[in-house]
Amino acid sequence: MALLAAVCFVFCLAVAEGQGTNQNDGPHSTITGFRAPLEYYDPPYELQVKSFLEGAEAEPGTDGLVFIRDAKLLTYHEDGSKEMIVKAPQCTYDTRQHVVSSAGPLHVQEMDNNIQVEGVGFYWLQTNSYLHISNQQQTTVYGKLTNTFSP
Amino acid sequence: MKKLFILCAVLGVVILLASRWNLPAAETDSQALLGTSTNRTTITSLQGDFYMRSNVYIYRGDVHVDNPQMKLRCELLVTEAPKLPTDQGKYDRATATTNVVIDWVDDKGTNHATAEKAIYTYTLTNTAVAPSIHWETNAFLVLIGDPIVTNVQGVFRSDPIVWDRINDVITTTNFNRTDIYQTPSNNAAPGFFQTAPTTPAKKAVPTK
Repeated sequence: MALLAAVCFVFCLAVAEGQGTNQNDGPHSTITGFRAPLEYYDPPYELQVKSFLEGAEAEPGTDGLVFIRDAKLLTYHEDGSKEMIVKAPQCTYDTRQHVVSSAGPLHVQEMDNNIQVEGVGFYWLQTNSYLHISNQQQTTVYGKLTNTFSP
Repeated sequence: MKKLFILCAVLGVVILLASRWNLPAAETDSQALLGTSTNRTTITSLQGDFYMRSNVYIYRGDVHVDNPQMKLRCELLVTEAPKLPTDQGKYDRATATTNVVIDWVDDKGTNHATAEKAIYTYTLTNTAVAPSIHWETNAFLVLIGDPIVTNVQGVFRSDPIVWDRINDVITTTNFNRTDIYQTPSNNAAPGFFQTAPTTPAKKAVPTK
């Protein structure tokens, strides 16, 4: 499944580059409308994307790095509903390490419970869904607090 | 990320605990705590680690949890909410560590607690034999590390302070000291009680 995701990513990268407005030839071409699935669920949900990365512009770099502007990282539940959206003015995706990172600000919107997280500087490890915010972390929970737990 | 809500639920429990445990906070915090409810809770820290697969969230450095009814300060806050099948109940835990300060309000005023560590544990367990279902709930807040709770009634010291929220019972295995302030409802022999300070101490010095 990881191989499938990698193939899809490369394919989307190629398609986006083909459709984009290439300002320059060579390795630093700018891609517009970057969109790429990063990971799929295991069977029986193998057709459901688990995480998806998109951006207004992307620029392939060396060593498997992709520099993305106006990036949006989306994660999904097994049923296809959105789990969270991470937005960042700019970030870097390491296609080899499967890491999305940035020294700049980020905004996270959790869809189910209306929770927002903000911070400056982050590191998202795709393989185990780990998000590290390195500075100025702020989580905001909207809605009335409750302790009514029920299965 | 979804399970961040569990943290809020835990904090909600703390608030409800506060409503039953009449122990107050510093007067200077009263106005802020009694401010208009916005139904919004913020958790700020220097850093945050979100292990989404295991639903473990770690807030590091100068952690502040702010809610209209409750404020929590500490250096490290860890929330754990393992994913369990819905028919197997729940296990949630929040642990605040290092210089823990909790201020909350209830119907009798503000409350103030300090400790080195505060642990809230919530479990929901099916104690019946399948296919029957009988859910048993346990919810405990444990304060350890020279915990001191101050309110209009007095100053309470023991280590640990164990608060069974379900049964609303507070116990300790190492009672230290309690100072009870004289009030109209507990007017015993003259001079028996201490006189309540006009401004409750925000952090009392533990006696050894």
